[in-house]
Amino acid sequence: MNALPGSTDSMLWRVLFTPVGPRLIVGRRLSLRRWLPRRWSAGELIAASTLPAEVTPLIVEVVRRTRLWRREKVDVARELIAHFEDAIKGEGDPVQALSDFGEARQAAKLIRRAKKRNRPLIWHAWRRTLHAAAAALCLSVAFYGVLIARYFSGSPVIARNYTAEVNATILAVPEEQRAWPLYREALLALEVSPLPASEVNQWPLLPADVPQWVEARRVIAANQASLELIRRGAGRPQMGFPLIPQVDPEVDLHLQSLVHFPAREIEMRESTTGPIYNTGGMRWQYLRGAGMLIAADARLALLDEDGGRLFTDLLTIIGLADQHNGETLFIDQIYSLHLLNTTARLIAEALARSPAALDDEQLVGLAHRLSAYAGGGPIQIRFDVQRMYFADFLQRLYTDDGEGDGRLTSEGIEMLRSMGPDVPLMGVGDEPVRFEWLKGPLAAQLIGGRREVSEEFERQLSLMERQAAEPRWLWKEIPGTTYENQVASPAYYRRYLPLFVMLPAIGRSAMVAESATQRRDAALTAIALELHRRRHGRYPARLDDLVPNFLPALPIDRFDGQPLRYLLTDDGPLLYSVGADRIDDGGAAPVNEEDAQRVAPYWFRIPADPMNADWILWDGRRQSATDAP
Amino acid sequence: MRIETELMRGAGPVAVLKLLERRAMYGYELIEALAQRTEGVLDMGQSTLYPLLYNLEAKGLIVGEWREAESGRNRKYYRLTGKGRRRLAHDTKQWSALSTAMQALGITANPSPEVR
Repeated sequence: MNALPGSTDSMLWRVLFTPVGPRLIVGRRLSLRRWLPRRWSAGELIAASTLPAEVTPLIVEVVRRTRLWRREKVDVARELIAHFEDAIKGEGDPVQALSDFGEARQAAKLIRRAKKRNRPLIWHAWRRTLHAAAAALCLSVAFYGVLIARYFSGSPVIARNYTAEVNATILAVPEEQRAWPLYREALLALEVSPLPASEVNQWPLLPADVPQWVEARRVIAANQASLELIRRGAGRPQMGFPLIPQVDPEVDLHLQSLVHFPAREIEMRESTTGPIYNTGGMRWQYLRGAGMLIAADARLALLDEDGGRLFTDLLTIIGLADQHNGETLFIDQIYSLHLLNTTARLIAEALARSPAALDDEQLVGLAHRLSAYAGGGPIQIRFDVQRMYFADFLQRLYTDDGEGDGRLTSEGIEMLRSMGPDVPLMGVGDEPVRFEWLKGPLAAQLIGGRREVSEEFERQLSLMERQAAEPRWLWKEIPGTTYENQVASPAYYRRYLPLFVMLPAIGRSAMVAESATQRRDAALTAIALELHRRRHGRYPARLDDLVPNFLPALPIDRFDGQPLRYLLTDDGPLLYSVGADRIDDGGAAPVNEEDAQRVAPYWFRIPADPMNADWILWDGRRQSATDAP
Repeated sequence: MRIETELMRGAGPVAVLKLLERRAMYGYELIEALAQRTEGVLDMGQSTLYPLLYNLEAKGLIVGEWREAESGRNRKYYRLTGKGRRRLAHDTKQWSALSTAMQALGITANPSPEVR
């Protein structure tokens, strides 16, 4: 038998009795272990001892129960063997020695605990790291469990039915004061569809001699009954179109029966509890058709020099614009401005092309109606309607703690996905998500809570409101630019995802309002110039000559805050704005479509770098009256 | 008289350190010495002595080394380290103060017998 190694503190001892020691140092392939002293196991040591047979089981049990490293077990075994050899020698009785030693299980437990304290620092560090990792894992699992429970246990509470509130106001107006019933009749009376809208949209602006007028004339001639109903409807004070049901099955079926109307599945939504933000699409499509049809007829009347019809149609368009402006939905405001723009452009063209088409009384009547639009003065977008949208939206996404806060629900996540944005971890659309139960709670944490999102919405909207309340020449940036820059950041986008859905580039609508203000003021100025010409036999030398008999005040160029530029040439007058670059180029017209877009950005943000052109608002020069403005 | 576990937990380590003050001793020898010198009062269970020794060793107060005794048997002898001596001096003061306090309260009537 090999001799037992001596001191347990020696390096040799540690190498031999550390579980991986010899393998690390010697390696398997070299097989040098045979050159080293034999590695004793605790069992072999005990078996090799001279202790009586009744004692060894206790030592074996104690050593086994310690569950220590091999080296440590050997050390304990050696010490216990020595102990019992001394004890038996001292007491002479192995049974007594066993009795004096005590219970094996307890001894093993204490020895294990004490021996482990003797282990190297690195082992303690590793053990603590493992314990910390295990604790962190347990905590994480527990925390995630809570998240999962919260995610699936919470449900949105529809505390306020905004749609019903709006509808109650709309339906409280007597039917004879509401225009929608007549517009509805007009849609049902359509003989030929004026759609697709993309084509009809162009009709009011088409040059006089293009072939599209053949189709336009055919559609307009076939729909005279509808046009008459639209004219009557525009004379009523309010639109009165309930928000829900959003699709009118009878109107939809009729439109589908017409050639151009795109076929679609009719949704029979009779619910009165639907989300308010989901009610704009169809009504806009219905009403846009009516607006474009009357605008096309006005243009046709202008080309035909039918002043009476032109006047009636222009008043109809302004009436439609007024009605849309009084509606709840944001999109109605935008469409209202579009109609106002169309009116202003048609008036400008009429005054350039056929100055005699409209008599004095008609011009004054149109001027009064235009001036009174939205209460007069610079046109302001009412961003506040978005607050109602957003409040309704949030109550369908989040739980409600009764104090303005709440957590995103699984229904909310689904709704967000169905509305288009890329929801973190959950993707887009309504395809099932793998491991939704695992991803959903985390996604809900990545997106801000109800109060946080609501406060950010209010912050951004208030900023847009403040910016849009300023006249354009004082803007340091287009309203909403701050938000658009922030939402471009992935972290912001993720955190405030509901804002992205409900607060698209609406800040830019202030540009539309500014454009409409400018075109309206230009149309009013053009009317004033024409009335001056009729009264005095000539155009005024300066715009100041129009004030106060023809205009209450000088029209302002919305780009620089100065009076609109006016040139009186031998061929006639020219009214223009300096445009986005704020440089007066002497009334030079843009040479191409790109410059025409850049000179007065309407919606898209276009850099206002200098260009050699101005924004021509009314060209009364004789040679210009051949094409549309 | 058997000392309760809690008291023994405080007294055991200092008693072992004191025994090792003059010379190195092995496990069974310590058990015997404790029983004899304290007349059985500090007669700790044999199975608890070894964990106590391993704990003191882990703290660096004692160090154990295998040696061959005159009888030819291998035994693990424990001796005090420098740190152990300082600890013993410190603990001795503590116990002395405690003993004085106990006397003052009349809990112990006579000075504690000096452990030799």
